[in-house]
Amino acid sequence: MGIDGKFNSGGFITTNIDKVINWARTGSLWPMTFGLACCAVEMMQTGASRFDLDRFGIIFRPSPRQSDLMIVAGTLTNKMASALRKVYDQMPSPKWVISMGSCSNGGGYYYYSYSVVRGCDRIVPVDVYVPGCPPTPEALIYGILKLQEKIKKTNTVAKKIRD
Amino acid sequence: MKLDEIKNIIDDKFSDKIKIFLDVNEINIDVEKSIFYDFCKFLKNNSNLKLDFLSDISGVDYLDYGKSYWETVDSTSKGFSRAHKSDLLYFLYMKNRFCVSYHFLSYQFNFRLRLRVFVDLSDMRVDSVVSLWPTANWHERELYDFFGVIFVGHPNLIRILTDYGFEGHPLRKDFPLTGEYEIRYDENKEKIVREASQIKRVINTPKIIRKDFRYR
Repeated sequence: MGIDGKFNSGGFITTNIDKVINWARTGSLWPMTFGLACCAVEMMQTGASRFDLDRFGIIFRPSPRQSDLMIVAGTLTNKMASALRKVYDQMPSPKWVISMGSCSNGGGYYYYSYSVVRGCDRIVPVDVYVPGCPPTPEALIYGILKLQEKIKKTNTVAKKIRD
Repeated sequence: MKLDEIKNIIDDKFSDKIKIFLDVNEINIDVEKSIFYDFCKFLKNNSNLKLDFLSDISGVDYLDYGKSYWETVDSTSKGFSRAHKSDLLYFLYMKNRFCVSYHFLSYQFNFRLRLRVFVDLSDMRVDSVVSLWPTANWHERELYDFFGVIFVGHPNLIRILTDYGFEGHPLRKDFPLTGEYEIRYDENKEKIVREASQIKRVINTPKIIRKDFRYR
């Protein structure tokens, strides 16, 4: 007996409004395409037919105005940092960031370099860190599922009422 | 056309201003800075050479070349390089710290040629060859960016790869690997700020140093 069975008892269900909001948010995470280096290739592969992010409702958007998730995939250099922050600021709230790969997690291989930011959390607040160099598509999907778990724990309406 | 013939063609005209080495069946030329542009023009336009393809321009920093073996103690602040003292060309390199090296290909006669022009910190100017090979534009910008070589006659000699407002030339041997500054986003100022690097500088050379027996 699935959701149909519940509808049979009067045609409606009762639930928490936050659960509905979180259901909608987790079911349609639209990431900003922000591929910076080789991690971007793994991100593309995750989005392509074999791993197929579409089944999570994830569709890559070319514009920050339409997206609520940013996957920072690759080495973040000093020159790119201001562009990354600008794109992040252009995204509408609520918004989340996944840091993908060693380089954007904490500098990684380029930790001692003169031109690389030692972790993209110096520039934007990060929700989920996906380790790996580069992470496999499975790892990125696991990170996305972890982010979904995190989103499901947030209270949007209940918190406002309490405040 | 054999390499010896090519060598003779070049030698006939510029014998006193250049040095030609034939190595691994390719031609290597060291040219003086004063005739560099005329020499390039000659290479491109001479009907027996026709070096019409410039495949690469690269730079070399010969700091301490031949002076020391592997001296790692001060390498982050002073730089290091590896060369043996018995190298024959040692004195040539010591006179000038940097060289700019050009790699040419002749489509018509199917041979390659390497060209080096030496510059020193006292005068980092080299004639630009953008007017001869337009591809040199970005290559020369990159060399200016990383080594600080100034190309006279370049249409737009600005940095190409490093950050806006970057200071220094990173591929010089005495440039500190970790750089002078690091950046972060400042919540209060709402912009990205640049601060002095907090990171401890490392010496990035191997712990085990093997002797180089190649030159004995």
